[in-house]
Amino acid sequence: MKTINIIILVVIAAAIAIFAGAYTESSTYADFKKAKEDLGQEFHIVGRLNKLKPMVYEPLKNANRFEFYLIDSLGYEAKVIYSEPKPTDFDRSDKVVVIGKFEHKEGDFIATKILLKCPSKYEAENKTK
Amino acid sequence: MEVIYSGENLLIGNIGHFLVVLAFCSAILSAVAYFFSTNNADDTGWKKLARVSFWVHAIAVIGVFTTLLTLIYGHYFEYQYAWQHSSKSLPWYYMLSCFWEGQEGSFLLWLFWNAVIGILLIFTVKSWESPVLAVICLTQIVLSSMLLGLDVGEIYKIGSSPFSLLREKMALNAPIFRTPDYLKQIVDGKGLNPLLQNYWMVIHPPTLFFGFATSIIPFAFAIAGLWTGKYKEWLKPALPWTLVSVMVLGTGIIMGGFWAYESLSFGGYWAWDPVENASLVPWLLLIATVHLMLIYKSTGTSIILTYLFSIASFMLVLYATFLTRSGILGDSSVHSFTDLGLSGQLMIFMFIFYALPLFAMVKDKRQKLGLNLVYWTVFIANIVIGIVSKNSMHFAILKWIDIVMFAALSFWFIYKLYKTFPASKMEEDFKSRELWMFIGSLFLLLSAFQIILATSFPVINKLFGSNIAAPADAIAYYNFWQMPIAIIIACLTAFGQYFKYKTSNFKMVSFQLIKSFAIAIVLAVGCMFLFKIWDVYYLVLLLAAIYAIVGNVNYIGTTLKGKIKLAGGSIAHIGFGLMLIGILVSSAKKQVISINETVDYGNSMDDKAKRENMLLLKGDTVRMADYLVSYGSDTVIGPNTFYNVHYKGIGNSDEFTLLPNAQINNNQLNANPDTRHYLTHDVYTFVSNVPDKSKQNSEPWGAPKVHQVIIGDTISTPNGNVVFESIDKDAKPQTLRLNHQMLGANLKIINGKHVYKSKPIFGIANDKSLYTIESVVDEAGLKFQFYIKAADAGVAAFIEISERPAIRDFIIMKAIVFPYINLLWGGVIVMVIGFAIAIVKRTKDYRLSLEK
Repeated sequence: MKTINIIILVVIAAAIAIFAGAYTESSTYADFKKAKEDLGQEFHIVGRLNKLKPMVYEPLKNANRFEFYLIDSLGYEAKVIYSEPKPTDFDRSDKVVVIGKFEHKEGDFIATKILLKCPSKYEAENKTK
Repeated sequence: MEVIYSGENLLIGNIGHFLVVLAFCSAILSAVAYFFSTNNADDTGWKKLARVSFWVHAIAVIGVFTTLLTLIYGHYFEYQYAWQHSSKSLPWYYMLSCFWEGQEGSFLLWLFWNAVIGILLIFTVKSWESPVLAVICLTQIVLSSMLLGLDVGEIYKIGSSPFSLLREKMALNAPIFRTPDYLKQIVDGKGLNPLLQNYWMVIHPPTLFFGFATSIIPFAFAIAGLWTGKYKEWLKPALPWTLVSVMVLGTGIIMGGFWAYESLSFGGYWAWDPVENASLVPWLLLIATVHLMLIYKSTGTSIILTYLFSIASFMLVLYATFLTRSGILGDSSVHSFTDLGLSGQLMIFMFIFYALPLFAMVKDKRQKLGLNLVYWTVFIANIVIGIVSKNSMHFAILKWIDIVMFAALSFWFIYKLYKTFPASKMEEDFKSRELWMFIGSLFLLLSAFQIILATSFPVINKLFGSNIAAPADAIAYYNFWQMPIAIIIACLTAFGQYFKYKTSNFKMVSFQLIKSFAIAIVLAVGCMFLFKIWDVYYLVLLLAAIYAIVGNVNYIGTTLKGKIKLAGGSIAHIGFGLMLIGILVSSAKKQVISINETVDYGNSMDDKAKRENMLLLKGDTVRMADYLVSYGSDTVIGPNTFYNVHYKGIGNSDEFTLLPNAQINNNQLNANPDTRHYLTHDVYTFVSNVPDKSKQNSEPWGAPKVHQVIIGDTISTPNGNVVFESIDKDAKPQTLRLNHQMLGANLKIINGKHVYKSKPIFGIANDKSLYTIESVVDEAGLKFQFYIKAADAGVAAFIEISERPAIRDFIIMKAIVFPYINLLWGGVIVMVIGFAIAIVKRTKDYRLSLEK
């Protein structure tokens, strides 16, 4: 077999591995119910804040703990614990993506990352209409 | 009711609109003329017409550019763009950032660079002018149409004009626009996003867009080659330009990284964010393209891949634009994107540019006709269904037709390329340089493929209805794939050049290979101890990076005999090696020093929880790694609050103050880090939270307690001991101009190691009426009143004390030490120098080849 063909085969194999890896290693968008079924597995959960329930951040006690309640797209609510300071524009955001997992059936959702979707300038303008 | 508005300057906007339309029309004219000029090479009339209209186009574009600048600099807030993106208080250089903050401005920037490139090409590319400029004009048509802002019917809009009036963009029935002189009510614009108020944001976007713009050049040349049938001659003039593109785009990308490092508080220079990825991928492919062009130049092989990569680089730039501008990234990126309703338009452009290589390729008339029929039928079907249909079934069918068609056409295109270039024989000698360069190019492709795949999850989800999201630990995921590729590529750069094209004398080569590898091992062992890296995998990468540097330095010294003019490639490789070491050490050995050890987490909180943010009370000193850190004061300058964070080394004389700052508006904190740069490491600090003062000050005071006191008394309260030290008989505050007698009680409050002073006042007005002026010590949570009145034994002094929880000023901060990050920046500079040398050399080569 020609060297070049071997190289091309190797590259194609690597490409397939990358492709397969993209699926096996990726996370999925889910809801709290699904995350509770697969304990310990990380999910992306899109939801909105429950602003009626308390958001707790007491920097003087613990600067690295923030708790809040999130309602996922199916209306299921869970308490989320985030081991970082409260993201600064958190109060303004209407849509929140939390990345994390449940560790126990009865436990809270442990978020490792939070993405905020703030109403952008452009949307703010639309609202004035 | 029609309102006649006053005070608006409509002339500028009209000039702007006119120039956009002029730019659009002249680009069409120029494209058409260049098209005919390419197909009728003998007829110089077309070429003249094309040139003239391109000049008109370029001048119009510069005019549009100037007009928009005038709007911003003149504070014409009747125009939405100026109002939305700028404000009066901005210094002149940030007003440039306002220009490219908006979508329209960034398209305009691209348009502008393309016009500049077009003019440069007209002067330099000689016989290639017509086909190459035809392609560039096509992009200019597309880009300028994005600025037209033309209403089609009620809902659909072609492009978005930067010259729209504020009242056109906002609803006319907004109350403000009911008054004719509404402009007087608009005192200032909304201003520039504070994150963009940074030196790097002034120069990063233009550089990046210049890079994006230059990526059209290899694409245009490849199309020109296919179109004119001069299949191979285009590579020579295209090579230096492709190098320019690599250099500029690379600089632009790393400037973005440096900006993120200097002014964003995510703690690093690279986050594998979709926006970063989308610019990195074309760059990787452009580098691969350069190497393939070199292979072709010396051996005449690998032409097919050169075509594919040249085309793919530009298509990926378009795709990146689509990703970042269409709003499809939605939940997956921290960048906030808005869909200006351009996604449909962007899709149309991708359709058009995808067609170019195919149509340039196909020469057979019947095939061409068939291709035209199929392609444009599908194209029109897409537009019609996209606009008219609300039926999701239609979209589903259309989607699959599109997917099948594009897949089939791609394969057909590659097949046609193979037919045109019967498999050019690659020397498969492992002693040949081209083999190693070829392998390197393929690995660059793999790297690009992995990044673009992971970035495209939202697109894949949309296409196939799947539900995948980026891995939770994105950085680990990217590193898993990119690290081995980096190791391989670093090694290839280290030894590839020692081989000559076609074949080489292995004995000579092997001596140099062994020599440089041996030196690399010695150095790597030294670096292992220096950097304290013990992880085997990291050590392999370290060795590979050092090998890349040593191999190339040795190559310059021995083979090139120190001739720097020829060493562009080697120098760029050295830069790459330095960058790799910088990246490796600064991320693998990065140390968060603000680790909170004091908080008791109890049993409930898992110990895995991160504790990377530290509470710093004003006036307190805490230990972080080898530093004593204190937060002393803060200074408010304009919208920014600067927090004075003092570092003092333990056991050394190292001492410095950092001023991380933040803008607080509407309870939103935009933090900017501050960094102490040393040659060997950086101390990076940012504020991640500050107390919400508006909430704290509203805490209610407890019921006051009255104490009868004499001088020297101490009153103990839960918030500290209060000592009544003396009475100030002339305690008139300077701000009060009353000629009353005022007595002040000098109080000292001792709370642990903190001592505060307070002076409540007892006043006697001229008419003998009495009053008090209270004194509040927020830090201690105490409020005092002082008065003198009749008591059992004549008159006595009384102090009334109210309590509430103490308000201590504090910051929550994070501090990270990045070791040897300067190797990264230094590596980039070396790499850019390497590219520059290579550009000079390849341009000379091309000139010489023309003279021959």
